[in-house]
Amino acid sequence: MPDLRKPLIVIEDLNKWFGDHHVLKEVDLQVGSGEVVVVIGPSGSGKSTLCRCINRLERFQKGVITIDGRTLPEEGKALAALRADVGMVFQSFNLFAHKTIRDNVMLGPLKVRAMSSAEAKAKAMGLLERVGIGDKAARYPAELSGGQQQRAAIARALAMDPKVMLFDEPTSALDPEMVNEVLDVMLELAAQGMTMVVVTHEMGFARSAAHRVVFMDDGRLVEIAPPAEFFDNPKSERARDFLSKIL
Amino acid sequence: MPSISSWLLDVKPSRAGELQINEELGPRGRRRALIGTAAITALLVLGLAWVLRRFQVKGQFAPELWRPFRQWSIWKFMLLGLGQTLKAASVALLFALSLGIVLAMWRASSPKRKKIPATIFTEVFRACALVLLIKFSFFQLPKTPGFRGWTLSTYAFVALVLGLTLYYSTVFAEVIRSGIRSLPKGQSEAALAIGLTEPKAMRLVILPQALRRALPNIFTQAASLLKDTSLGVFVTYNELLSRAKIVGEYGSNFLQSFVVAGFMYIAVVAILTSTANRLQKRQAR
Repeated sequence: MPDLRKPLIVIEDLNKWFGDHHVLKEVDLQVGSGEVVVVIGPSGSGKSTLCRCINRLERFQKGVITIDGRTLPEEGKALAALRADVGMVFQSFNLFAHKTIRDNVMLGPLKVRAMSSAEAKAKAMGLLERVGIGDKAARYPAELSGGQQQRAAIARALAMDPKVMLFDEPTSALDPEMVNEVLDVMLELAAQGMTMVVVTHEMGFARSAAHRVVFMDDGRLVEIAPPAEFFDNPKSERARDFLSKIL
Repeated sequence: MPSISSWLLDVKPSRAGELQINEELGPRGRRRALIGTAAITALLVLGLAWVLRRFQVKGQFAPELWRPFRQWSIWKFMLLGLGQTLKAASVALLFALSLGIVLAMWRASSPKRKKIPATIFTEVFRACALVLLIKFSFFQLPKTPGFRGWTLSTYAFVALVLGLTLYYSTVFAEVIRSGIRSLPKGQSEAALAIGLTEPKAMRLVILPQALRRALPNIFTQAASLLKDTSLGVFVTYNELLSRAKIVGEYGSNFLQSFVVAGFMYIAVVAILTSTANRLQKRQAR
């Protein structure tokens, strides 16, 4: 069980504007070590933006984010060092198109962790085997299916030994038959005690893997509850409305 | 590390998002294409015939005007000029491309201390007439007598290379920058997300992909740079065109000399173009 008394991510009074548009409103959230938090909500509710703020791929105007006791740096080497400890998986995979799958996974360990080439190679191969695409190591991203690319992207993030993994709609760009192979890898990660923040529309995943579900609407955290409670007995009108549309 | 050639050739670029209009023609389309091709071919043949006819009328085919080109010494003289052209072009290409890469990276980066100087440099020198840059370099170079045994033609070479570098670095910078901008935003985000600093993300992830996308344009501009070495004529650099002029003066056959020089330029650019096409084909495979 996750230790909620040891928060790994602390978000306090997070506010973000795109011009005049207030997209994140007074967001407060703590994610415990080993906890899996699934963020759901209608499109445009700000859930992806929240996820991207956690490693500052998205700038925010007000609020504080702390990761493992360190305040998220503004810029430069300190920010890069913190990002190295936060794995991120994108909707569109974003594998480096000019590198083989193995080189994609090796790049961070080589250039950020200054690992030796042999060590990085062994690590990459181990991770690719773990996500079930060891045989694709020498291929280029464009030669892989979407599901395989996303599993490679997860391996690339894991290669940094992150303290926390962020998933920004990891299955939304996949053909339906490939969704499960990616979710299976994520379920396994969750079972191994990885701290995870997952933005998704996969309610099945939320139900089975999440310790807590966060429901967002219009830039606010409307409801935070364990999945059984949230799905069977949502407290807020907006959550009930949302669930009635998708379930 | 993979070798440079495998880096250039072996990777398949992503085909996603590439625009292709290549619909097969219908019967009417085929007829139109045929008529168009015939009309253009006819125009070209007529144009060529007219030029040749004028040559004949003006007596430009007179054997004595072409006789110099039966001597090896004349060819040697002009080929040495071609060598000078290639020398200036390759040195300028090396400098301009290196500087262009730095300018493009700086302009695409976020720190203002890099972005602003790179932007000003690019905008200023891109707007200058190349011939001005070359002449200006030539007249402004401090010419200390006896400096390392430099002669006037050394200064001419340096001025030509300097002018070409200043101008073409901005051209290459823009070509490469558009390559950078054509990459999906996700590439740089993913690079930053694994903890690469911005300069490292640029060098390891963005630039290699941008260069590959820019390669066809780089070749086009390299061919253009090669031809622009002929502006060396204005600073007495001893390249192909100025030698053709000398041959013309010597034999009173300017037109014939320039025709020969023209074919030499065409030959070299054709080699460059076919190399570019081969590279692209192998890349696309």
